[in-house]
Amino acid sequence: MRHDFRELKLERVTRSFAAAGGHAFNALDELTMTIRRGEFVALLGPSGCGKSTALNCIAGLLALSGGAISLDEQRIDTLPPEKRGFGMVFQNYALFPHMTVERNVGFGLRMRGMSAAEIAPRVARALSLVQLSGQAGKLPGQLSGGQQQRVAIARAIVIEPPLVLMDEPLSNLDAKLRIETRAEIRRIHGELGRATIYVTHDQDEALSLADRIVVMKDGVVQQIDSPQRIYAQPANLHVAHFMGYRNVLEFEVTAVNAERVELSGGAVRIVGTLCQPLDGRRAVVAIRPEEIVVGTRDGGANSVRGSVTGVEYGGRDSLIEVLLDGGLRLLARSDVPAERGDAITLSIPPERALVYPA
Amino acid sequence: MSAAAIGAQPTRHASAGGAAKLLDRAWRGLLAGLMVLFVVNVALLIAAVAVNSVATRWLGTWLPAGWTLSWYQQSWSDFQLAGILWVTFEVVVAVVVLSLAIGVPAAYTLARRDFPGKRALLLLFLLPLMVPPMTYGIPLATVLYQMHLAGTIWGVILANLIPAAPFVILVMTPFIEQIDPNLESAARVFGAGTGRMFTSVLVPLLAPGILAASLLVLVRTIALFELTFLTAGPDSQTLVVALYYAVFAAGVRAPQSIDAMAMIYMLVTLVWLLIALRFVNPTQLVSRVKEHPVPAG
Amino acid sequence: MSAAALAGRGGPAVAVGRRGFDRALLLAIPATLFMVLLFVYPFLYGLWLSFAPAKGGALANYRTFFTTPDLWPTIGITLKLALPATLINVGIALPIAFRMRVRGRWQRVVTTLLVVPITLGTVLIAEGMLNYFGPKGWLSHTLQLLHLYDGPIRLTHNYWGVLISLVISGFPFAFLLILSYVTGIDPVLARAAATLGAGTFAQFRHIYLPLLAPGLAMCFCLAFVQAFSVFPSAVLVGAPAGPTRVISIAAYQAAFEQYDYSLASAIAMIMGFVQLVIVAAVLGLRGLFYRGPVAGGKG
Repeated sequence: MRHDFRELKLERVTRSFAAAGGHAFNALDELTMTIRRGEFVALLGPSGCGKSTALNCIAGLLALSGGAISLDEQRIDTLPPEKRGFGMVFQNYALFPHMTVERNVGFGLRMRGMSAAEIAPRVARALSLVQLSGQAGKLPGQLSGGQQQRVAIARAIVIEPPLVLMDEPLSNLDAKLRIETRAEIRRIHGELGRATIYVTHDQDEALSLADRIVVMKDGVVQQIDSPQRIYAQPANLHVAHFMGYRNVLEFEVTAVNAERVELSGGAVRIVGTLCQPLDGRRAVVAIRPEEIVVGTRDGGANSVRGSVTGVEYGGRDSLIEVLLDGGLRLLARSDVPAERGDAITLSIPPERALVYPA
Repeated sequence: MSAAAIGAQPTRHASAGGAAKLLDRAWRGLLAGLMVLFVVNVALLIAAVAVNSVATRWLGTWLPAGWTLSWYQQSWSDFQLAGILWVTFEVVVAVVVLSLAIGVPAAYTLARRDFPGKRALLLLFLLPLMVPPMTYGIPLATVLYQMHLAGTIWGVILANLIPAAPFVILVMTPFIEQIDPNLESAARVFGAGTGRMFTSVLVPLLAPGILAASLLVLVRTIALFELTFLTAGPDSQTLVVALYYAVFAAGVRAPQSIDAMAMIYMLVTLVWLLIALRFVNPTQLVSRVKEHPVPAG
Repeated sequence: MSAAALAGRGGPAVAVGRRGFDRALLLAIPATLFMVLLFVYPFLYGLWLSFAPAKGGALANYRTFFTTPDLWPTIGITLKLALPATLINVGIALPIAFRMRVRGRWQRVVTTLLVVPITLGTVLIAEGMLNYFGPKGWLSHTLQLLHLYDGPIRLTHNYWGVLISLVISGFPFAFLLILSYVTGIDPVLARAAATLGAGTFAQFRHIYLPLLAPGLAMCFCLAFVQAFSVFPSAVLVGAPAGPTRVISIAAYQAAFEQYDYSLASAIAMIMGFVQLVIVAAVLGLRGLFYRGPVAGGKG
């Protein structure tokens, strides 16, 4: 076991499961990527997309059906989890209910045969890092959810693993605690600089924590990119959907001019930006509600008219539903008050109307 | 992918240390061997009964001298099996029906209400399952003799209810607990009275649990020896007690005739066991520990 | 066993409020009444009866038991059968149940196979043993064929016959019970331990064993209590006049052969008392271990 590494390589890592009727399906299909030292990578996708399977394969809790995992050119995918030495934080924390916080955190060190004298200061340091120094003698059942989560983190990092694996660590916390613990995870990652693979279905978590995001669907990687690019330039419609492009409208392609695509549908004509090669006459435009401008901009380029059919008040702004003159519906964010039945003009910036094949 | 799938198969790893690997293999082999030894010997033990029941003569050889089915006929008349089977049927049906009738309502109370003395009540229902029948059977038989119930079929039914009713309660309580109480509230909000709520909401939801509980009680009652043995008279013997007397008085009848009766008993029990296993987990026959839920993810 | 599980969960149970009597409580009355009449009352009656012998003082029955040479040794005889049988059953069931903890086809097959001897019951097992383990049975034949043992083996009508029958009926019981405890432990705990460097044995030793301890104690008690009240097999495959004259036989003979219900009740009370002492000792030890949820987090 080692404490540091240059890169962790996943090559066509595949895992299949037996499904009903004796068929096998690939829960994870040929995942290939390289994780560098100190990097924070988020695996993002809806439930059942294969992200937890990927994490369990890396941890050694699941055997691979195909492909290879190597740490600095050394194959590790045949090693059992206890020989890989990665730290893991589980979704339900998986704290040992019969051990005190101190013994939970020290468990990995005991398994490494360290003496009590060596273990105590390390456990104390880990507990102070997660700000739980006063709780060492308690049983997990006596702690709150947020505290249990921090014990789980301390237990994973105290063994100074080359790689920390986190499986939806925040999903059992309430909204406020989730944001606090998120900041905590970012701080700890910053202090220790351990490479981390973080599984989540929450795009905000992935965007705020990760250096790189892997978006997955049905076991297949959709896009591996920086948070900025994933947010602004989804590689395909699935990613766009997942990243909050709530307006997805189908149009006829009327002209393609390099990046610029002209489209029409009903009475609406629109100019968008090509993101993926088209394969026919029809295309789909994905637009975020918050990137639609309420009111006219630049003398009417890409502006559409309609009437407000629904308003969802959201504090700082409102989400309004607009029925366009051609019969299409759009969701937009508006910081000016609107009411049902109001006539309204919306402008869509052409560079933010992303065009994908239908 | 959900975490549930992880449990599907243990991971196999090639590169464990040589000696440790060998030791692990040996250990696994030993455990598998013990298990096989047990299962094979029990299977052979049953097979020996089966073979003898169709043997003309079988003395000290691998297989009997000849085969015949006549022992079944003889056993049927020797031991008056028609009457015994009828008594067994009456006892089992009565025990199942009565244990459900008093057990299910009690389980409902235990599942839905907290009240002072609940722990004591639970203990009262747990004890008959933990104290072996032989221990409380003798004082029970004494009381039943005083009430002139011992020796009658009602005495046998009452005695068999003592472990059966608590068993129903302990199977049904967790089952009722996992039914959302909001469903009952909803039925009331939408205007169902207690009676209607019970028949149209609770009973359909409870049906699978009741089915499981009755099958479990049925299988256990057919095989329950001690209490019937201590309380039955000549006309109220169940099959298993008749079998005991036949084995006890071995020498009076041909051993093949006894084995034919044993086979009939085994058949009756196993048919019901097979039916029961379609609806319940085998571990439920001995314990009431709930299956742990598959972790979501 | 279930008592803690049932009472411990607050969840849907509704506390009875101040607004008068809750009619739902009436539903428990028939069962309660029945158990009091047919379980508690006979026990108390038996206790009283044991102190009211036909002749002699209140303690005459107990004096008789502990001075009659074919009565008091039954405690030792029964313990000599029940303790080894329980240790064998629990001791072998534990590693096998641990080995079979992963749910799958094999677990289902083995549990189904093992439930058969439990369902058939001791009487049928005894009859089968007389055939199979008898001096002219298949086992004896096989051992002679393999030259493992010459001459007819004697595994029936003695101590070994009863011990074997206790294992045949007791091992599946212990196995199924322990298996249900083992599968009740969240497997994610073992996975967490594995990522922290614990191999299979360390997982067993540090995670499963401490969490199983209360269940094992309970299983030991139930298995012991059953073995201690052994009756049909002690008569049918044992030597009920001598080496396997267990305490149940003594109680049965007092009641149904000598019609001395008072002495029979006294013997039954002694039987219950010995069981209680062992159970109390084991459960007392259990108090030293962790008792609580066996899941790894909330919910």
